[in-house]
Amino acid sequence: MHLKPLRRHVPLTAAIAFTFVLGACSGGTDSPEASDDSPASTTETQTPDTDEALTEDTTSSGGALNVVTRWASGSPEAESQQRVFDAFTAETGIALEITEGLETIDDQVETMVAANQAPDLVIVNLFDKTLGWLDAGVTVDAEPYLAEWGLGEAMKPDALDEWRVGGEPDGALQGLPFSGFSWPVWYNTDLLAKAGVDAIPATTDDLIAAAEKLRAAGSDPLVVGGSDWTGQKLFYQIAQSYTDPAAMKDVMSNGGYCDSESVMKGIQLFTDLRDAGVFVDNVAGLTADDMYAIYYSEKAAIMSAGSWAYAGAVDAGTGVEERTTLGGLGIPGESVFDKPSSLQGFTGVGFMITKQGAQPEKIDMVRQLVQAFYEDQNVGDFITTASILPPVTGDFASYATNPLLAQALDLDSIVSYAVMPDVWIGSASDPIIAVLAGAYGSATPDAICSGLDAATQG
Amino acid sequence: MMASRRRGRGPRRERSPVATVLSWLYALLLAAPIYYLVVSALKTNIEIFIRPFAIPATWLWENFATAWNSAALGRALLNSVLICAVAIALTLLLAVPASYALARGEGRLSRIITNAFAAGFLIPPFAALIPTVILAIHMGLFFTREFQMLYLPASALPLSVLLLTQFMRTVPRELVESAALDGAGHWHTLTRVFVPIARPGIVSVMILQLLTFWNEYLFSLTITGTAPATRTVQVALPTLISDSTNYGVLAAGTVLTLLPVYIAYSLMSKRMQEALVAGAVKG
Repeated sequence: MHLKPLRRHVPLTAAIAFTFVLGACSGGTDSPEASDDSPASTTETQTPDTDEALTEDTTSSGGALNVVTRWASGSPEAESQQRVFDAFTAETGIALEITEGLETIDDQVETMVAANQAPDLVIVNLFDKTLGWLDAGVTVDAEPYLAEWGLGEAMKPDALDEWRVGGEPDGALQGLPFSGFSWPVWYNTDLLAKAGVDAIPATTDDLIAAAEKLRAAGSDPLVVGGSDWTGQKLFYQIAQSYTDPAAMKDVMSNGGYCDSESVMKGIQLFTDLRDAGVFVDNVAGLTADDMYAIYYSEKAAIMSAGSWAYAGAVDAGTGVEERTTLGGLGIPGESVFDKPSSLQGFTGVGFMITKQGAQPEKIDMVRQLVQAFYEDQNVGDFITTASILPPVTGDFASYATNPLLAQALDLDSIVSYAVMPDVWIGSASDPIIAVLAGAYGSATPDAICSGLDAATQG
Repeated sequence: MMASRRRGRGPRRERSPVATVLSWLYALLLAAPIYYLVVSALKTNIEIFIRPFAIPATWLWENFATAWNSAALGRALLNSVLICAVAIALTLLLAVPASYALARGEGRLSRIITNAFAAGFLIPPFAALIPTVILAIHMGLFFTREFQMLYLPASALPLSVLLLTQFMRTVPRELVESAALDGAGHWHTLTRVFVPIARPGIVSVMILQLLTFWNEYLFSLTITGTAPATRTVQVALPTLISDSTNYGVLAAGTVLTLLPVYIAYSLMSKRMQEALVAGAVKG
């Protein structure tokens, strides 16, 4: 859904993938023999004998699609996804061979490509290595299919731009966005009221004052995963307080944090908030899971979390969703934002069509499956089950049964959106998280900016 | 009276209180993670993170069913059992005769071959991954269980052969000569003399390799893949991880994957202890 860089064997699998992709992209997958190879992995949708699957030529068997999906069984989206798969196979007779991509889905796909067993369609988020798949020849430009498949009109331009190379309107389309997210700040109004904070903090000064009152009342203030991707996003949200989007994107892409006066001012603001006790104690050691548990159990009054957590808040069973108001993060004076800041994006999960899937004998089946996902009732199912932010326009309000999701539909009027860093920081994401864990500790602005420059420039 | 009773039992070694305390502490140290895993399997995320070692407020037995169904653990367990059973059988099929030959060989060639097996330890599994993947692709066995059934015995042979060779070298020469005088060939000498005597060693190798095979993750993930039809239980478990992981369900799934290997170990552990004791006495 979003960027959760959990990797246990990344260096090694990455080495395999890199080795093979180099070979594959030098011509291996372009050969008819390679492109016709069939994957061996299957799911309950169709479970042929493994040996047969290995030698099977899909061009001769027809009617089978190989899909790798980021939505593994344990995710809330998996339920909706399975309903789409089941209905698709029932209606079209096309069998689906599903491989669940784990935390190393990018490496998994690259290894499959290298083994001449490329999938036809990859349901994955746009991050890190998947950002390079179009250039590497793993996937194809999705632009021609957008209009041809009747998706162009309904798709939100912003969502499409996020999936274009360089985020530019004329960039090649790396895939078709499906799962967007909002990323507001959560405020437990009960805890705030008990601490004597009557209004949602609108400025950073309000935030500091609220944190002091919360601490005095025995509640923790703002909780975030200081050692992971949630902390990374909040840092960037604060750091770009004084920088216009274009300049911020440039710094995120190319570095130059230390050289940018406005970015340094934002980093200074971050350390000021940190030193003023806005974040919970020991925040540098916390992860997203710690953050959810601390907020859901109402030990902390403020959290920065995305729409994927709406369902989890209700499932927690503490009723915290009824005492939560979604909003933005308080902004400083002279900020480039005119309202409290928040994040949103469509780089969650989308459909990336591989070279294999773009073959004439496959592309029509890919079309049918992709179109099935974008049918209104299926988009609505994803909204209800997993609280996704749809990339297509339409009246989906009736599907927003989660109270937090219903609140989030009105966020546009009360927040300003900061630049979502994922696409711009690209493969520097993991090193940057390591730098920012120090930022949530005691690192100085100079140490933070030089660490970010080093991480960005490789 | 008391003194005579003590004399009747023979000399009794006094146990140091410090040793007793340390033993209990060590036992607790080993039990703590198991306790944490089991209680976590019955909790919500909030309880796991906020009260990690407390007894569950509500016992969520349904976590086990959720884990079983969500990750299709039944099929994954079958795959793991199948791969392990075939791999163990192949390992023993290859290692026992090889060890017999090396144990009976006394020449330079025997020593060289033994050392060659020992050299297998020098190859880190990570270093073997890329060539192994290439091999699987060229054999047409990529994303199959069959390759794992072949690869695991190959990776286990160095340790298995060396261990079994040492066990077989303890077979008294007189027994071997006696069997030869009775007209026993290599097959009968191996099956009637060496295997019965080395049985504790064979069980030890079985247990050690079973644990290794069962817990193998990297090659299973990369080569066998994540498709429900072929994946092992170690690869199936991570499918329970998502952006909003239910750690209670994940812990329940982990408990379910540990049970088979725990049962197998319980059944074979007595033999292994015998083997270890036998080795100590003979050493």
